[in-house]
Amino acid sequence: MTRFDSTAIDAEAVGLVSTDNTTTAPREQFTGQVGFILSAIGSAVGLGNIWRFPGVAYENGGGAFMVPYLVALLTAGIPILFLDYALGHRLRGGAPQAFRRVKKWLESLGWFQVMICVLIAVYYAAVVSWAASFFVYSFGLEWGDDPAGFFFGEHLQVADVGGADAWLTFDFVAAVLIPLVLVWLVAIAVLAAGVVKGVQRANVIFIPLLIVSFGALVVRALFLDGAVDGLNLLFTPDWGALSDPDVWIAAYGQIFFSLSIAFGIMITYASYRRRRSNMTGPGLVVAFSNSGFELLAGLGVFAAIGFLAMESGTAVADLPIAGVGLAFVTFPAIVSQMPAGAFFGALFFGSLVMAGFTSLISILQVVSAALQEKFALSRRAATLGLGIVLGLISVLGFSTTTGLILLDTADAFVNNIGIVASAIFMCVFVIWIYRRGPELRYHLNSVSTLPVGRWWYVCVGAIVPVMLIVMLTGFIAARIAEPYEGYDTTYLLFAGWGSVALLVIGAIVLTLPRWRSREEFTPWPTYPPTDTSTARKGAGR
Amino acid sequence: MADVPADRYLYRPEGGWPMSTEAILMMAVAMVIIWGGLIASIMALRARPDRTDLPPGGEDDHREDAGIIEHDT
Repeated sequence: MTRFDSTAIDAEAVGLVSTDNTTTAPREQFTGQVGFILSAIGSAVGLGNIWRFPGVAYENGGGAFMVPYLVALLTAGIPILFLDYALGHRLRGGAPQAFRRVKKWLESLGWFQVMICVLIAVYYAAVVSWAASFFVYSFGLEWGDDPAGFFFGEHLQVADVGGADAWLTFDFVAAVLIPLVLVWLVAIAVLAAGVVKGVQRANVIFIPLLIVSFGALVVRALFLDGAVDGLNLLFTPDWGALSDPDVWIAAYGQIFFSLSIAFGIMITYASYRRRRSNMTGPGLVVAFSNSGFELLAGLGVFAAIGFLAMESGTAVADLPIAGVGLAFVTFPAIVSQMPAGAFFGALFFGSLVMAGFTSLISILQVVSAALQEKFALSRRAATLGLGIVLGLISVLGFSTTTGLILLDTADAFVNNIGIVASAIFMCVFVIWIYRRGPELRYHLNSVSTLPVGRWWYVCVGAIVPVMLIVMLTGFIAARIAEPYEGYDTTYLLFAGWGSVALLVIGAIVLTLPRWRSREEFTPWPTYPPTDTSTARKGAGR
Repeated sequence: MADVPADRYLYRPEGGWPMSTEAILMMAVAMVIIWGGLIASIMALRARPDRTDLPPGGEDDHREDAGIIEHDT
């Protein structure tokens, strides 16, 4: 009878050796279906679900927006999610490892995705830290009668860029810096604890708590005076919007940006599932949970906005209904006028912290996994290294008086160019050029309960790339025609286009070093299948 | 977009403007499809969490978090 090598396990547990295939220590794994699903939901449900979806839906046809939104979910969101899952689960690696196992040079696409995560992590942590600060401020309703002045002036102390101040300063704001450092310390601690004891445990605690606390907030908002006015605005359909191509692009954009797809997260998470695991069934739960939470957020946000509009006698169109403005200006104003506002303020900002933090650790796990695999680093060495470097960049760039402007610029360019280009490359190279679609579909069908039909090829091979190419060219053309948000063109050259250049340079530089972990790898199940019964169960369906 | 007056927040009837039929319908459709889809996918997964007819092979190594503890007897 075999005996488990406890020495190797203990060494791995304390982080002395690598967690991947470089040593005797095996790859980390989620303990089961629930842990994986909650972690994937934790990644997908983020700040965008709460502050992006309601505004996008309102501005793009209201109730009619649900039509393109659902079409986009079925033809782009779920198919790309399945593509990510298939790559990570079959090829057993983070993004660089998985793409390297498709084709050696394609490792660079994996590093491109890792670089996207690096850039997003450094500013995403800042937003989580603002939410944490506002969670504390909620108890005393510290913003008073002027939430905008409090947020931009007192809390962030935003510089007068384009006026008296420079576009980039290193004037640090203690109220931003201290919570930001704390967010990084907690994130590093979670990652260092490992996939199960850190990432999975955090999600198993935070996701149910998020659903309960945000659900309670939404129920309260629905009973506020004026809530019906807000719901009327959100759901009254403008059917004419369906003939507007921009509305369809907005729907594909919303689905695409909110599901955490095509930049390495779902590839990495899927690689931590046991080989003999169902993938598409849980994938469907994750996709519908993400949309379900967005719908919940839409109800809550617009009910609350209807209340504020009624209380203050203003039109909804005059209120910030999306992004940072919605979360840190409009919501504090709502909370100030609500009965038991301090409690509901704490619920709202607590929800933002939980939604943001679970997404942040998934983003960082992509970077950690890639470093562990390529450079044969232990989990703790990789976590500590990336935590110190990214934490420093994050503090230097985003705890200053110009942090908000840099965040806004980097976010726009990294999302609209970086992630969109990453998805296009993924579809073109994996599906079209290296023809791995049938193998990946066979893999999903071999291990999963929900069969993937041939429609999947149409989605990931045609619909998704076409929609994303339209989105990408539209964004680039708009940025060439006019500067983003009217910002200084030299500043945009460095902060915006520079961010995109950094993605490319980082991808090349990180691809060049020798791969230090072992190369032996055999995908399972074997493709093409040798056994006819297996073949019937798989791609033939 | 809505068929209520533009100045609805300034001249609001007692009890507020009612939700329009179209808005109620679209809200219900969205809820049924999205939340219904979520419930259906969870129920389907609970009914059949994993394949029982997997191809041979594909056994994982175990790791420190959930390894099968085997003892010499």
